[in-house]
Amino acid sequence: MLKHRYFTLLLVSYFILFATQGYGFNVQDKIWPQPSTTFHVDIPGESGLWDTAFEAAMGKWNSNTSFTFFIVRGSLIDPCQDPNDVPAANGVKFNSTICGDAFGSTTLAVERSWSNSTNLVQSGIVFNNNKAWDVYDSAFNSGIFSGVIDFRRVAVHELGHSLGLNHENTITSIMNAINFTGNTIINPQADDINGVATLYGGSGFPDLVVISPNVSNATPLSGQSFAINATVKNQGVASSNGTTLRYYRSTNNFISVADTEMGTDSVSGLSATGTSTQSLTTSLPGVGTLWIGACVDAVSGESSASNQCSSGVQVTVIADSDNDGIADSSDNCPSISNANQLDTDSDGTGNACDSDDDNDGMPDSFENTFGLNPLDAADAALDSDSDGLSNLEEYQTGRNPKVNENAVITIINVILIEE
Amino acid sequence: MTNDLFYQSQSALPNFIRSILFLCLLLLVDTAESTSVLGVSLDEMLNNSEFVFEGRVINIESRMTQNGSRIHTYVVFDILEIIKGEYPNDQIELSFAGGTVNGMTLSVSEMHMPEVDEKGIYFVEALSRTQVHPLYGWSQGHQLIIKDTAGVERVTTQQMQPVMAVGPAIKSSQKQLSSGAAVELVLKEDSDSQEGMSKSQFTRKLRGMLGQP
Repeated sequence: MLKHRYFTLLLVSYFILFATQGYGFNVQDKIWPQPSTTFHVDIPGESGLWDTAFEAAMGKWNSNTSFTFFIVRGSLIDPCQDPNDVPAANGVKFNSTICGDAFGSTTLAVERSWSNSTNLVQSGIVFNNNKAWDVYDSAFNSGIFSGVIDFRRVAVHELGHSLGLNHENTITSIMNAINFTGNTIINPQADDINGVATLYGGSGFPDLVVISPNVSNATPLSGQSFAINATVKNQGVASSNGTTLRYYRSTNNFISVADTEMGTDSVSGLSATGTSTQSLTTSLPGVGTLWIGACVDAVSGESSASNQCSSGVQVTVIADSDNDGIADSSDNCPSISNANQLDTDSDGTGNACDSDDDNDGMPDSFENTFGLNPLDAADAALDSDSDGLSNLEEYQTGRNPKVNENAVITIINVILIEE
Repeated sequence: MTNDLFYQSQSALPNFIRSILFLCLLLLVDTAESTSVLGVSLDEMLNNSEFVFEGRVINIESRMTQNGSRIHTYVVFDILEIIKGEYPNDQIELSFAGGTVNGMTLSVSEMHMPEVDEKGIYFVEALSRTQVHPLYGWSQGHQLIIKDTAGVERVTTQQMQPVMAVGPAIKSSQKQLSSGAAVELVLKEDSDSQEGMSKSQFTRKLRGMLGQP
């Protein structure tokens, strides 16, 4: 009969229900309709140690967040119960399987929640009774408790799931998925508290991050000015005080305060979810590829100080030896500043570096010395001094293009004869 | 009497369906499981896994368990190389809790199932029982093999972080976050498959840890 009913529900579900997938960040897509739920707690053994520890774990959420776990002591609800068959209720127990599946040797506990189209309706927590458990606050699975799992901190973690938090693996949090040896996190952290405040309201902490770093020019010339833009966002649930944004350049795309600081900007206080976009105009020495980013100084009470820096934006600095705004690779005179790139004879060498601007065979220096036009190739064929030699031939034979040396010699000869 | 019942049923059917629809809207569409997983060392993972292999995923299918109470996703691998243990077939099917069947979903937090055509090195904890996650330490027992642009196969974590080396375990007390990988794996923080241990280097290391030639 039960199977038939389940099957009926299943068939109808096929037509009207949609599969959902838990999404990222650190909260679930389904929460309780009010900021509270009730657990039935009656975990046998150890003279009530587990009951007391579980209640203490509930209290850690109650005292730090707006969510309240209520307790019904001495009442056993099977966390594997199907609320299609019995009234929904939250329970907790030790068991050798997860409602039928083996835990495996590394799975400590499982929280199983049921939801309808809008809300959570039931939560159950199963602890792996194949493990050795105790209750302690010292480093996890270490020292005298090596090989022994702390029940209370695992309960805090699983209760975090019960109220609607997902795993958080990037920030120090009780909701980190993997509990490693030596871990000292035993209470809800600021990020966890912010998560609850996001779900159910209540007080929390500011949390500044730097988002959307970008540059106005990803391939600037060495020494050329460009802008670095970055936005500081308060993704926490409380206002932040004013602080400082620091710009860095790095040899890799991970920006940290250990990188080379390039400048700073003041950031005023931000309300929750508030943003402030800052910009720094700067230039870079040398050439090559590097990464630009920014970090914001942590403010008092910030929920996490481990997410202060942006990612890096790749910037490739192009060589411009003469600082004329033209990259060396395309500069027709990379050693001498010539922003206009004038190249009269179109020979690929800019006039600034070309010894013969008009390419007429006479160096500019020769033409300038003798009053010829260094930008006009036509004067090479002229015979400025009417001696029968072109200006070019004058240059090639080491003569003065403006003086008829033959006439001078003749005059000298005449003078000598007369004497 | 039978006919009466039949007609009675027919006339009552719309209300019945409406009731069921209403119940379904009010009641339960999804189940989610979230876990606490123990961080493990590579040595522990290697020694405690019954079967370690390099494989490629060829098929994935979600099904309801036989008693109809749970959904599992069954992943079939071609076994390319066995690093530890024995298996009689060229293919192996591993069962992961969770999935969607007929519009009903069981989602399991941190359950990163392999994908079709994915190639990796998999640490199977036990061959004889159905676990919520078949790999030792969940994501810790799930390494990916990715070809770089030169065609060299390199090893990454399940989160695509290149494995740069297998080194001494980081002193756990100095860590407050798990990378989702066994503690001795030295990882590069960004995903760049051009770097990291090659598959042959990694498997040679594993074989060395197992005392194999």
